[in-house]
Order: sequence, then structure tokens, then C-alpha cells
Amino acid sequence: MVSGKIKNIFINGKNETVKNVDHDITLLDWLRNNLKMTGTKEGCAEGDCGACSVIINQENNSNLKPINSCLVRVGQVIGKNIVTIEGLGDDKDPHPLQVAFSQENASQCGYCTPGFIISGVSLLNSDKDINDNTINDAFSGNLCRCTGYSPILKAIKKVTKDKVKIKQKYFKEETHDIKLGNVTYYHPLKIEELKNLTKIKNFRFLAGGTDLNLQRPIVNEKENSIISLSSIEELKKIKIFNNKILLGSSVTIETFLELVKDKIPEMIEILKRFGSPLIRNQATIGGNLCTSSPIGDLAPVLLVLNSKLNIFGKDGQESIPINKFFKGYRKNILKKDQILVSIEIPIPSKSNKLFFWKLSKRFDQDISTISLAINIKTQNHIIKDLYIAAGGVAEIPKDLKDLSRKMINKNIDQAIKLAIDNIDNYIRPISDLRGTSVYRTTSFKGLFKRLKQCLEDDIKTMTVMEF
Amino acid sequence: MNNVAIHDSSIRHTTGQAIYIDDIPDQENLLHGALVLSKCAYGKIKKIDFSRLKNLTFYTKTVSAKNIPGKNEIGPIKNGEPILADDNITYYGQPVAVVLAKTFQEAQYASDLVKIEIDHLDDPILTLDDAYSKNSFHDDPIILEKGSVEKEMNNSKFKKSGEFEIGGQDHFYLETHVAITFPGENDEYIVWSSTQHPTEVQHGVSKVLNIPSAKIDSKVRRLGGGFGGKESQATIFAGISALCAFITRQPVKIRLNRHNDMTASGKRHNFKVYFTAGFSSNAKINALDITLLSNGGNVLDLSGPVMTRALTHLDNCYFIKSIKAYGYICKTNTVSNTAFRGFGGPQGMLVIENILFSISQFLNKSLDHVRQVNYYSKSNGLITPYGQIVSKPRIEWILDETYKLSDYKKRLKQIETFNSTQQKNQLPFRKGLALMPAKFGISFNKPSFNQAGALIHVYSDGSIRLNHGGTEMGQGLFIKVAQVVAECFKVSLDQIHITSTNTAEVPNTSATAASSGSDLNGMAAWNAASTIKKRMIEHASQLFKKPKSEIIFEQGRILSGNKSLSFTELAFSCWENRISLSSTGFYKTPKIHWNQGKLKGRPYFYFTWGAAVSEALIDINTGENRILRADIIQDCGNSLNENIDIGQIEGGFVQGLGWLTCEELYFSQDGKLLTTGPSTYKLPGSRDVPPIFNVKLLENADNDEKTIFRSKAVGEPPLLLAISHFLALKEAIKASSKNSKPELLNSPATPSEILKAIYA
Repeated sequence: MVSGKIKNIFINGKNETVKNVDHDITLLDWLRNNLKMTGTKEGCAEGDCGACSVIINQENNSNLKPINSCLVRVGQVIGKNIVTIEGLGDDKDPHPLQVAFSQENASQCGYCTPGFIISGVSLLNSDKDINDNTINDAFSGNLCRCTGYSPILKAIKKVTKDKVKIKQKYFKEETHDIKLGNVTYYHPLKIEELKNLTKIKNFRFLAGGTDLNLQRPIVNEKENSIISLSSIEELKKIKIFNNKILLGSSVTIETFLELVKDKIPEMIEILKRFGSPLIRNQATIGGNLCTSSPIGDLAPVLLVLNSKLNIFGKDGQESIPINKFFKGYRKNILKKDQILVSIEIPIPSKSNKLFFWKLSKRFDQDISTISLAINIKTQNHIIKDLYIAAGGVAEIPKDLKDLSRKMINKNIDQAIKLAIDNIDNYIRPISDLRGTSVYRTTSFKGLFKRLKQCLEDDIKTMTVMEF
Repeated sequence: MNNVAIHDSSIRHTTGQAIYIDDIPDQENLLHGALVLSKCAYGKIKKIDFSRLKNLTFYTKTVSAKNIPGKNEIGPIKNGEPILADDNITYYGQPVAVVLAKTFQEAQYASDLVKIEIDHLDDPILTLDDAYSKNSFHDDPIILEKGSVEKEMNNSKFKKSGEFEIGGQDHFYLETHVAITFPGENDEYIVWSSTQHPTEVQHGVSKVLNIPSAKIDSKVRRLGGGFGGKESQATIFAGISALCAFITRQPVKIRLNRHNDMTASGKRHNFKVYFTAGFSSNAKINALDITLLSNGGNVLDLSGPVMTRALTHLDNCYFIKSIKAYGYICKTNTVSNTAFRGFGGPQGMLVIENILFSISQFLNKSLDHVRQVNYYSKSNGLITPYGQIVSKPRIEWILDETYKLSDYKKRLKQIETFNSTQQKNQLPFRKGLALMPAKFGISFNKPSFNQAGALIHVYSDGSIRLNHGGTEMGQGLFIKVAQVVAECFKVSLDQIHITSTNTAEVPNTSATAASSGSDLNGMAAWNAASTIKKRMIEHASQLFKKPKSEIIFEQGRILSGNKSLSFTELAFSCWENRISLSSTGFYKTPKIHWNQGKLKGRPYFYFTWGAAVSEALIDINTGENRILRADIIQDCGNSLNENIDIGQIEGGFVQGLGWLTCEELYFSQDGKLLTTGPSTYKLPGSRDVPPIFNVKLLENADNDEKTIFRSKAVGEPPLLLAISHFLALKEAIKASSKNSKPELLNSPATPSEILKAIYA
């Protein structure tokens, strides 16, 4: 590590120096205010509209990852390659997608358009097919208020994939600590370095930052260090065994999504609804668990799979089952110096069935009103093994082991009737902006009805999205 | 005419080169302002405590109402609307002060340190029913009355009463409110703001600074979306930026972060509706007794005209024999609601459509039957409750086209089969199909707003500079008006240079609103271009020694017999011969008149017509819902630009879907808006658009009135067609079980609302 010497970010193949900025500055503000590159827009500054999308170009133009630049601090991306809308083309030499958007009337007011171009170009450069489904996935983090989206979909379908490569000089990525204002961003490369680093009294760990970066300022008045976990190789490791997956805590949700496609395909649908690609390229599994939100999309899933969490701190390693991790509203058992290193997810046996359902006001990029995760084994209509967990029904992701115990060894119909009739004994949801308590309870029962149907007909799910 | 031209800025939109207000390069001494918002809904300001700013290591300056040199007053219709709270706080999140700093981030940070000390007043009024019971209104009710409701109600075989709520809607333009004011010499100010109404910004700044309008240039090149949210509201923030520039003698930018924008700017009015309908056994409506409560918020703003438009759209396409509708604008301690695409029309139309649904349910007849017997027709009658004659209704024509496009009757049967199969097998899905026509009145209800100006210069190189009073907010107004000018001179579109809206070039403009932008400004630009063209013809006639009637403009050339000149050559020759190549143009909408006291007259120059069929799907276990298909026919007259019009229809319809389904404004018990960003306030995403979405313009449909090229307005009307999806959801709820109560479905139809109506 070269501490505090090199302070560059590579923007559109140009080496840009970071200077005279505060620790709090986001990549978006730095682009707009310091580099005067105003093509990237601020629509919400909370990672939900996509107007600020930029690409992190991770391996020489082969792996384009679009992210929300409003949810990234400059201190996190020192030494990285970023592509902005200005890097894709201009009116004299536009990218084919920019031409297609223009010809198809895919922009009206134009404010969201650069963000759509960034997401669209990233999709076109991926190995994915281009169809309504992949396009909607790719644009799930981009909002347009004018067009009603139809011409946007038409435009991207018009572009053939052979001409979409971006012409970009790529720099070799570097990792550097950097002091911005009064705050130092540390980027340790090895987990052991944490032992020394955590002796600094006033620090804060930072993973992807899609939650923490919503805070302004990111550190409180007493804190003067941020320890980024993004460059520690060990935290990014993925090991796949016959019976389990071992995932480093800094593995992004998007990487995880690609990985589970073969191993636990039942997880695909719920992971696709985890934020948007812009969020998932940045957000990590460890981050999602450690923010310990009661509606964390992953927690109920990992609970019913009986995952184990490996924790590291100055006193060494320890392992705990995930149901011992959550302590209260946004609280967990980690001590100040401890981090989550990895998550062990047992691959369920083929005889078990998995159901992961999320209800929200909008299908894409929305926070769950409630979610339900079920891991179940039945034999001759009798429940032999059952794990149930839920999000959005209590102040922590709820392990409903008392309920599952009552349902085991009962006939499916009886067990589900028991669950529906006695649901109030197990969940006490509140009313809030995502739904009323009555709705949460009624729809929770509804998901048990869905479960019954799925088990009866031996189908994976049944939702309005299948029509 | 080139009626498929693409948006003039599209390549600059897609490359990020289009400049919005916040993209204007900062001057070195620019200051950024951040608003300090109130943290209670109702109270008296004891003190604004800025003391914590003293400890900051960076420069700050504070501004509050007491620094205003003129009047703290920008009410668009009535007085009493401050830009910064004076003595009293009247809603949660009201701007009270501004903190200026050298960067946006510093200003934001510092604004959080300001404390407002408050004496709490009585309980704030936060709901419509609360306001109604306490008689808290902005004014006397606006009353629409026709015939004797009492008599007709008594004569009706059946009566049905009901009530429902219609939610508000945040505009969620992607670009939040923003303004920059540059002070100049001799009290001159240049104000750039994201406004739909530069003239109102000019007037507002003039009042606040006590400086005549002539010294204030109000400008805007483009808005990152408006939808009505920047009609009157922009003046508040432009006014604050001008005030700060006045105080500091430095340029000042006010840009609202999303949370502050959603908290401190007005939205679509939420309504509560009480009705009684009297009708025959065949569903013919004889009498309607309706009470509309709209949430005006803390000040009046545009709530009067919004209520008037709601009342004058209660009829939609139906002849109503007698009606008594009272529109109460409730005064509450919430942010003042304002214009939003449709401007009360959507709420009014949802009222009558919900009433028709209730009648259809009551009589166990189809919704289509109920419509059919009540349509405006020669036999039923053609006079609206406000006295305007619906001279040539296009209802049947539109419906025929819509049936064809949507395969309606066949699909009705298919859906019936689908629902009975689901029910029989105890499966959770239900579908609903609904068709609805919509009539929308075009013109501002206040006749004086229906005027526009344009200014055209032809230069000696043949290039043409176009300026007019309309603003470009994505709707394609600028390219439409440019098309008109190109058509007048018969030159190619790229010869027309489009410029920023500027009160210094075209004065006394109206808001770009009420769908009227191209009707008004297109005609004004035509008149300006025609004046210049007339002079050019006179000159060409002398040059060619041919009568004026034989001078022809064609494809960039001016011809007569075997003689011809390029447009450029003729322009140069005009200059050499000292002929003016510059002209203003003016237009006022003919035929309209309105008595606001009686709510009678001809408020609308003409009507647009449209119809839509929507197919809804619900999951009765979870309340999850989708729109599977929409088919739309819209009457755009002889469309000025078909692609742009179709874009308006698709976009407006989807915005309407958001209003009616997923967009929910949620307030805390003490009146604080909790849905202040897209993480909590959900507008439609790309997957929420109907997977089958057919949109067509009504063909060979020239406007019966003499509008620009016989076109019709398009901005607002398609939004109302989304009501068809709300009705389709009700049909699906009705099909869920015998016990369901679709009439309980309030808007927005969130999953919570849908399950409530199913299991009520």
C-alpha cells in the first residue's frame, strides 16, 4: 500500500487527480462539481432513480458494472476505472444506443436519459440475451417519468450487440489509502491487517456502502477513519463444496445472483428483486446482513437454509448460526472490532423444497412489505422437515421456529390451516408506509395459501408475474 | 409538414450534453442556498436560532422573511402566499429560512444546524374530514348546478349513495426545483429557473424585491420534467434565490434535494367524495348530488381552478339531467397542493366513473350498458352541466376504433371463463377488463390566460431564430412550434434555431400548461412567421415582377414562373433593401367565455376524445396486481407530430397508472410526509408498463375548430385514460368472491387497498 500518495481516479480513460475535496464527497458530486462533467445527473441521491448511473469498468472493457454514483464516496474508488456518459459518445460521434434512443423518441425531458444509456450499454456489453425480461432487469434501477418506457425498450432492441463495445483506455487498477479532509479511508488487502487497523479508536467499517452512504455525513463527529472492506481478497472468495457454499462477506449481490443460478435456483427470483443491478453491483452480502434491517431481503432466506456466519475480530475467529446474529432493530452481535468474514450456506437436499416470496408495492427495486422464506420436506403429504422465516413482521428478521415445530409431522393441509388460524400468535406486524398491519397479516396468510397450492401441484411458485 | 420529426434536443439528452439549470457552470462567487424547513405542522415562530452556525469553519450567511425588501407574497391568484414563513408555520416542512454557503454540501450541512423555536398552536388540521367538520375552507364552495336535483332524485326509481378517497400524487420530475439568480447593475436581475411559467417567476421576483418587471429577465431553456409541478411552485424557489442574490449581491443557486422537494412543494390534490345518484331501472342517471372535498393545503395556490376543472369534468361523456355538485377546497396544515397534469380533471372523471361502477353493481348490469344509456347523444342531450354544447361528440367513432384495436368483446368472454376456472379450482388469480372513453376540455378555464406571443428573426444568411412564450419540459413543444415555422417558410427544420424561453423576448406569457402549449404558441409563431413571409413575398414580387399571388415558397426556394431564389438569397436581398425580417406574433383563443360565479359558459375551445381498454390481474391472496394489456385510441386532431403525440399518450397513461396504483403519499400523525424519495414513494418502473400496449391516433380526425393545422392538444388527456385500469381492478375484485366490495377501493389501489376490498 502506498499511503496517501496517489490520489487518482481513472475517468473515461483519463487520469483525474482527487484534490481539495472533503471526505464526504460522493463520486456524483465530484464528477459534477470538481470535474464539471454534468452529463451524470442527480435525481434522488438515494440510489433509487438511476439518473446518476456510471460504469465501473473492472477488467479492460470486458466486465462493465453500472452503479449509482450517488452511493459511492470518492474515497472508495481511488485507483478505479469509471466510465461516465461523456465517455460513451457525443453528438458528433454517438454510441449506437445513444443514436437509437434519439431516433425512437426514448427521451422526453432527457434528465433520466444518461442513466438509462449507462444501464443499457452495460446490458448490451454483457453476455445476456436482449429481451423484455433482461431489459426490465437491467433498467429496474432507472426511473423515467415522461416516456412510459415503451420507446426506451424499443430503442435498446434496435441496437445489435456487435457494435456496442465502448472504446476506452483502461488503467491497471490500484488500491490506495487516502486522507480526504480529516478522514482517512483505509483499504487493507489482507484480513490480518484489521487487527492493527482496528486499534484506531474512531473508525467505521464500510463494505459496498449502499446503505451507509445514505448518511450525510458518513462518519460522526468523533470518527476519523473509514476501513473499507472492499479490497480484502479473502472477503471476496467463493468456495463451492458438494454440500455447501462458502461466500466471502464482500461478495456482491450480483455475483451471488450469478452463482446461485446453478446451485440454489430458487433464490434467483428474490435476488433479482434485491435493489437493482446498480445496487447489486455495489452492495455486498455481508453488508446486507450487518445493517440488520428487519426486512433485509437475504436474512430470511439464509435463516431457513441454516447458514453459519464466520466472524473475525482482534480476539480471533468464531462461528455462529445465523439465527443468533440479530439482536434488535438494526442491531447484531458484532463487537466494534469484529467483521463478518464469510457465510456458509448449506446446499439443501434435493428432497427439500424452497420458497422465497417477497411482497412490495412495486415489483422491482422496492423494499419488502413482508417476505416469507420456507425450506420444507414432505413425505406422503406429511411435513417432515420445515424452516420458516419472515421479513417485515417484527423488529428483526424473524425465525419462526415455534411455528414450524408445531407444523412438523402434520399433514400439509392441517399444518397450513394451523398456521393461518394462529398467525397472530407468531407475528405482530405494524402499519407503516409500506402497508397496513391488517394487510401484512392477511397477505402473510395468503402466502401460506400459496404454499399449499405449490405443494399440492408441485410447482415452484405462482405469482402475477407469470402472466 | 415533417410530422415525424424527433425531439430537437434528443441527441444532446442521450449524450448528456443538454444543459439544465444545475449544469450551468458556476461563477466564482456563486453561493448555494439550502432551505431550513419547519418541523411542525402548525405553530408560531418564536425565534430562528442560527447560533450553531457560528462554530462552523466555513462561510455561511442566513436569510429569512424579515430580509424581504418587497412583499413576502407570490400567490398566483390570491394574496397570502409567502415564500418563507413569516410569523406562523402552517405545514410540516414549510421553508422558514435559507442558509447560504460556498458549496451545496456546506449549505445543506449548515441548514441542519438551524433551530426553529415554536409555540405550538391548536391541533393541526391534517385530513379532509377534519377540515370539513371544522369548516376550514379556503373560500366558499364552488357550485355546479343544473336542473332540479331534488325533484329528479325523488322521481328516480333507485338511489345509491357512497363515498371514496382519491389520493394525491407527487410530480416526481427527475430534476428537482432549481433556480439561479444573477444580480446586475441598476437593479437588473437575470433569473434562470426550472419553471413552466417564466412570467410568474418574473412577477414573483418583482413583488419580493420591489423592483419593476422590466428589470427582471426570467429564462429557461428546458426543464427536467414539469407535469404541473413547476407551474406556480417554481416561483417560490426562484423568488428565494432572487431574494438571496439581492441580499448578498452575488449570484445564488437554490437547488432542492429530493427530500426537500417532495416535502416543500405542492402535489396533485387528494379528494374525498360523497355522492348520491338517482337513476332508472335501466341505469339512466336522472340526478347526481355530489360533494367534493379537495385538499388545498395551507394556502390557496391554484386550488380554485383545479376544483373548477374537476367540476367541469364530472360529466365526462355522459349527459346528466340534473346535478348539484359542491366543491369545497379544504384549508389544511399540509403543503399547498397545486397543478398536476389533468388539473382536477382526473379526479372529476374518476368520480363519475366510480359512480357508474356503483350503479352497474347495484343494478347488476354491465358497466358498458350503464355508459351506453347515458352517453351524450342527440337523443339524450348534448349540453354539459356548465352550459357548453358538445357539438360533435366523437364517442361512437372512438369506441368503434377501440373495440377493433382491443378485440374487446371476445376478451370479455375469455376473462369471464378465466375467472370462473380460477374460482372453481380455488386458484388465486382474477382478471378484470374495462373500457372507458374520456372527453377533455381544452383551454385554460380563465379566458385571459388563453393568449400567447412569439418572436421570430430571419437573419441575412437565411437562418431563422425562433422564440416564444412556451417552455420545453420534454413534451416536444419546441420541435412542434419549429415545425410550424418551417412549414410557413417552407424551409427545412434544421434552418430554424430554437432558443430559451425568456420574458425579455416575449412578455406577458401564460404558463405552459392545460395542454395548450402548441395550440397557443404554435399559432403565435405562425402569425409571426406569416408577417415576415408577407414582407418577403412583397419584395419577391418586385424582384420577379410578378403579382404577389404568384410567389410560391417551396422546399427552401421562392419561385415564380421560371424565376427562383433560395430562401437565403431572398433574405439577404430583403436586408439589402431595408425590409424588416423580424416580427412578433400574437394569438388569443377565440369563442371562449366563462362566468366563474355561476360556472356557466363556454370555457373550452374544443374537446379532445380518447378511449382505453385495460386488462387487470390480481392475486387475491396477496393483493399483488398488474396491468396486462392496454389499448388506446386518442384524438389528436390532425397531429402536428405523431411520434411526439404517441410519446405523450404512453407517458401520460403510465403516469396515470402510477397515480391510481402504486404512488402513495404517506404522512405521519403529526403531518410530516414520510414518503420523500423514490425508495419509499414508488412510481411505475419499466416492468409496470402493460406488456401489450397498443396506442393509435384517431385517423382523419381534423379538429372542427380552426387550431394550428387543425391539430388537437395532447398533454393531459391520456393520463385520464388510466382510470380504465382502476375500473378493471374493480372488476377483478368483483370477480374474486361474492362477498368482495369493489366500491370500497380507494385510490391508489395498493395491495393493502385491494385486499381490504376483497375481504371487507
